[in-house]
Amino acid sequence: MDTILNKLTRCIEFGKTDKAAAWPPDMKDQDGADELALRALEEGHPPDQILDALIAGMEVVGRKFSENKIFVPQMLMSAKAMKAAMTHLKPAFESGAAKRKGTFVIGTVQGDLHDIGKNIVAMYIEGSGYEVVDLGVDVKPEQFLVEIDKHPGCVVGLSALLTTTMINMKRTVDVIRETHPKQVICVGGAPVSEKFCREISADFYSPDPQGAVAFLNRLAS
Amino acid sequence: MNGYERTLAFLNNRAVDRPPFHPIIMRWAARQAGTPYRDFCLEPEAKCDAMIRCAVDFDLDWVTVMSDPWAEASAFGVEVAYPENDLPVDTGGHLPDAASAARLSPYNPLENMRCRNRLAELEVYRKRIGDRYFTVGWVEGPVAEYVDLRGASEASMDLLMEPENAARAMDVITESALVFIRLQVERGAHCIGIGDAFCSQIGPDLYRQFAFGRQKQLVDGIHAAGALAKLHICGNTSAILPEMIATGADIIDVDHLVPSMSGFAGLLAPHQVFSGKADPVSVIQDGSPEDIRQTVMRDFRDAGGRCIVSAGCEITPDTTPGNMHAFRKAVDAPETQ
Ligand code: B1M
Repeated sequence: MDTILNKLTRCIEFGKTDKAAAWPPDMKDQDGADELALRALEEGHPPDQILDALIAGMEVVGRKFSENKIFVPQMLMSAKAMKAAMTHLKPAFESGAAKRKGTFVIGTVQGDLHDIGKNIVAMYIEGSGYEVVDLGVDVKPEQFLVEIDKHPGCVVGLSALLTTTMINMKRTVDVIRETHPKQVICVGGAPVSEKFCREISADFYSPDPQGAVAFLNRLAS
Repeated sequence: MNGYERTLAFLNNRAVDRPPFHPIIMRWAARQAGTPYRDFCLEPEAKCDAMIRCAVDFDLDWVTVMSDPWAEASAFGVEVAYPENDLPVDTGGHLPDAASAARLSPYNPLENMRCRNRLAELEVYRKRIGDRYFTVGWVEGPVAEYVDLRGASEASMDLLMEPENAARAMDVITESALVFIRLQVERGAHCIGIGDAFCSQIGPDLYRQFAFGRQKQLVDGIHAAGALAKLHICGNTSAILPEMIATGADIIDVDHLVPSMSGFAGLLAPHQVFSGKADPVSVIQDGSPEDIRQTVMRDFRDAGGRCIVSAGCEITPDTTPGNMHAFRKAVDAPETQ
């Protein structure tokens, strides 16, 4: 049955942000994630149920991305659709009417300006029910400390795309651990590896967003 | 044989003493020469000096003008900052939306400092090394330049949401690149590289829609100007390699993320070769000399012998001189002869 929640899942899968959006062409003039999320709330669907519909869409997107069936542009459109829907859910999360699974503070490390992978990971994690604090690119270790203090119990995610900035990933871990020895830190990015993760004493390496979500879910359960 | 003769002979299927060796060096070259990166990017003499020193010390067959992607972007109006000893950073002046991208005007390379520098670098090479090394100029490809002007995420979404506007901007990018190509060939470039790295991220359909035809136009323009063409797209390009070859570029760069060149070697025309494809991190930077030798031999075999030896993309700054010598030595392995 094509319920409003199924439609919402499809909007995430195909990156339909709102009715006016030209993408995808075969969903022209149809409601997008923006309108459907709002209507679902108005119709009385609990925010958690709406979030589940978004997560279902994200899971398909993640699978297609790993299978090279969709690429960065389509992934970013799904992220945009997700954001559009989340705008309507935010008040429910903020008021406590719906619960987030935890907080994830993510950034691309100092000296590194690559942000697409980091954005995709952030979007995927947000879409999986976590609050995401995205510090952007070229993030100094001290900026992470500020956010860790603001969000006790959060998990930190570091992304790096350059071999030369991997050293700043290590520095960030060291600086965080000086004052927060138990802080959970997850790392990723094209040149990063399991071995490097162990060398710098980070807690978890994931080559992709799905792995990072699975790790967070294990921690949250 | 010198690097120029070796490269030309290899491309023309004539006998060579060994395959050409063309590792992409930028930050590594600056570090080896002790040149602050700002000088490397902004001072033609400093860049050429570092490149020539590396070519001599590590027996490379080529020199290039590569350092960072911001030359053309600055000519189109992007503001770029040059930290003392770090990579340049784009700080503003990007195209705010796809509609303004569609109104992009061509630039005149002679009126922009970075573009004039590139021409000056080629003149320095001509004066200092003449035809001893294979000298490679550079232009950004249509998709990469669009990404530089709009920002990667915005550009990616434009391809789906605003295809006409993005295409119009890419036409202007291509038209300007053709002018820049002619000027670089006039200054002595033997070859022009087209850097279009982002193409590995957009999938084969968008590659065909936006990049292929324009890259072919650039290759044709390079050939018409009297030089050879090299097409650089790093990342996993398995799905678009047949089209990359069909652009007619003489040298097709292949990155380590392409599992093997073996399925594609048969598509090369007689004048075409691959260049690649060792992993710059796990093999060239972190591997042992034996790892490097094995990788070079395997790739060379997979390419049916039609492969210039290089890494899949830039040599990382932390690669030791010892590993670079081992990389060069691997080219002498009997299996590559
Ligand atoms: C926390 O937990 C996690 C978990 C998983 C995580 C994670 C965190 N973070 C990522 N993941 C994982 O999930 C994501 C989704 O699957 C994945 O993320 P990725 O980020 O790996 O993948 C993205 C989805 C798509 N991939 C990308 O977006 C990167 C694409 C390529 C083409 C690329 C781009 C686009 C750019 N670049 Co740059 N660039 C290249 C890339 C070459 C290529 N063809 O791959 C690469 C990465 N760049 C490189 C270089 C050298 C550079 N770049 C530079 C600049 C740029 C642009 C600005 C032009 C642009 C960035 C735009 C932007 N806003 O991001 C310069 C550096 C600037 C700086 N200070 O950072 C410059 C130094 C070039 C120069 N000389 O100026 C190379 C790195 C070499 C190395 N290993 O050190 C490179 C491989 C290209 C090359 N051929 O040399 C996973 O890794």
